[in-house]
Amino acid sequence: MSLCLPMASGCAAGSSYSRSGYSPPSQAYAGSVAQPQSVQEVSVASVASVSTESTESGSSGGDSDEAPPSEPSADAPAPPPPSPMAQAPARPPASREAQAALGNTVAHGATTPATATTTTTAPATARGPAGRTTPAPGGAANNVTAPAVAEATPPAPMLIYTAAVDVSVRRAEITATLDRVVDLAYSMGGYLVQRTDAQVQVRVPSARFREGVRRVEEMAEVLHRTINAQDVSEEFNDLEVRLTNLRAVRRRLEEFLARAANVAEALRVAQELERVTQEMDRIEGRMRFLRARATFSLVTVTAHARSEVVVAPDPLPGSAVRRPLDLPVVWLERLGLGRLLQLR
Amino acid sequence: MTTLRRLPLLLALSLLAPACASFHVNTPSGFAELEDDSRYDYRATNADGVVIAVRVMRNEPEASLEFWGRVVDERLRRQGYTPQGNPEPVRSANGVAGVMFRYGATVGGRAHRYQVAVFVRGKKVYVMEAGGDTEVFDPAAPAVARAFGSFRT
Repeated sequence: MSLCLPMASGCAAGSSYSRSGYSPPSQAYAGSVAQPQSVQEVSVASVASVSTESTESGSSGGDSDEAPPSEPSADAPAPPPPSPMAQAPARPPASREAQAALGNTVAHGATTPATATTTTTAPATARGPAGRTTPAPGGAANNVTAPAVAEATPPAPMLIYTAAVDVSVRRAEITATLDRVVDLAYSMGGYLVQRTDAQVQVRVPSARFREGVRRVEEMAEVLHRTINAQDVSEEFNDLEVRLTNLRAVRRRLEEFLARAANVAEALRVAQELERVTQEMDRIEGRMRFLRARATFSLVTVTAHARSEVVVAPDPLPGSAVRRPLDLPVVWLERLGLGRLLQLR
Repeated sequence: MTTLRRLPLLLALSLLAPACASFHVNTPSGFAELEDDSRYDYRATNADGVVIAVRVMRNEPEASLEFWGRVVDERLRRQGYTPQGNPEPVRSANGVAGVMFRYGATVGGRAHRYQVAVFVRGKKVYVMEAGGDTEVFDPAAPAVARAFGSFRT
C-alpha cells in the first residue's frame, strides 16, 4: 500500500485545486462532448491533506437518479467561468444519432441551465458542427467565439465531476445542515439523489458545480473534501462511432430484408436486425447515461458530529487542578477506537 | 492527439511528484485494505475487526516529535485510555524516529487494546493506529507489529 498524498502546496496534480479554493470545472460540460483524454482526478483534503478518490462509474443506461428535475431551467445560472477549454469547439461533425440524442436530452428536460444559457446567448456560444454547445468564456459578454477560434483549439473533454465533502457540525445541526444542502441543490437547478441521517447526495448542474461545492463548504467546517473529474470523452466517442456503424449495418440489413427471397432468409435477416437494434439501444442508453452524468455533477456531503468542546473551569488559585492543553487541532479529536473501529 | 493533450498533465504530475508526502505500509496477511476511506489515508481490517490505520496530518503548529507524542498521549489519557507500559521509541522502516503508545480501554463493556505510533517528518505528522477487542487483538498482535514495522514515510 503506497499513497501519494497531495499537499496543500500544490500536490493536487492536474488541477488547480488548493486549500483555499479550486477551479475544477473550468469548462462546464453541458451536453457537449470531446476527444478522448485521460482521466483527471483531483483530490484535496483540507485537514488530513489526503483524500481518496471516488470515481463514479455507472452502468449503462439507467440509474435511478439519472433523471434530472423537471424545472431546472427556471433558474438560469450565470455563465461558467472563463476557461481556455470553454473555447473549445464542439468536436468534429457528429452523427445524426448523436444530434438526435442531444435532442432527447432536451426533450427529457435534462438540459442544464448552462445549455439553456448558451442556447439563448448565441454569440457567446461556440457551436460545433454537430450542434453541440460549449459554454464560452464570459458568457454572453464575450462575443469572441468565432468558429475560427473553435477550429484552432482542442475540443473540450467530456468530464463527470463528483465531489465528496465531509463537514463537521454540532450534532443538533446535522439535519438542518443537510436540509440546507438539499435546498441549495434545488435552488441551483439540481436535485436530491439520496439522503441518510448524516449524508446527502445531490446533483447540481455541472456548469454550477464549483459554485455548489463552494457554497456547501461555506455552510460548515470542512474536514475533508475530494473532487474527482472522470474523463469519459473516449468512451463517448467510441460509442458514437459504433452507433454510426451499427446504423449503417441496420440500413443494409433492412435492404436485405426487403429483398429476401424466402421466409427462412427473411427470418435470419430479421434476427440479425433485432440483434443490431438491441445493440444500438444499449449504446444509446449508455450515451444518455454518460451525458446525464456529465450534465449533472454529484455532490456528496457527509456531516460529522462535532465533539462538544468542554472548557475546563479555571483552576482556583492554589488548586492542584491543571487546565489541560486544548490545541485547535481537529485530528487530535479523531484519535481513538471510536472512529478507528467504525468501518462504515 | 490524445498523447499530446495528456502531455501537460503528465508534465504537471512529474513536476509535482517530489512535493508529495507519501508513506508505505505492508498490509499484513489476514487483513484487507479498505479502499475509498475518506477518514483515513490507509485503513485495513481483519475478519475479527482488528483495524490498522494511518493518517497524515500537517505539522501545524510546527513542532517536534516530543511535542506531538505528548499531546497525543495527553489527549488519549483524558479520553479515558489507560496506558499500558511506557512510551516506546520506534523507528519507521526508513529510519524516521517515532514514539508508540499502548493503551487499554473499555468499549461497550468490553476490554479493548489501542496502540498509536507518531512520526514527525518535516511538514507532516504521521499517526499510525491499531485497535480492537482484546480477545481478537492479542492473536493479531504479530500481524499488527509487522504492519507497524513495515511503515515508512
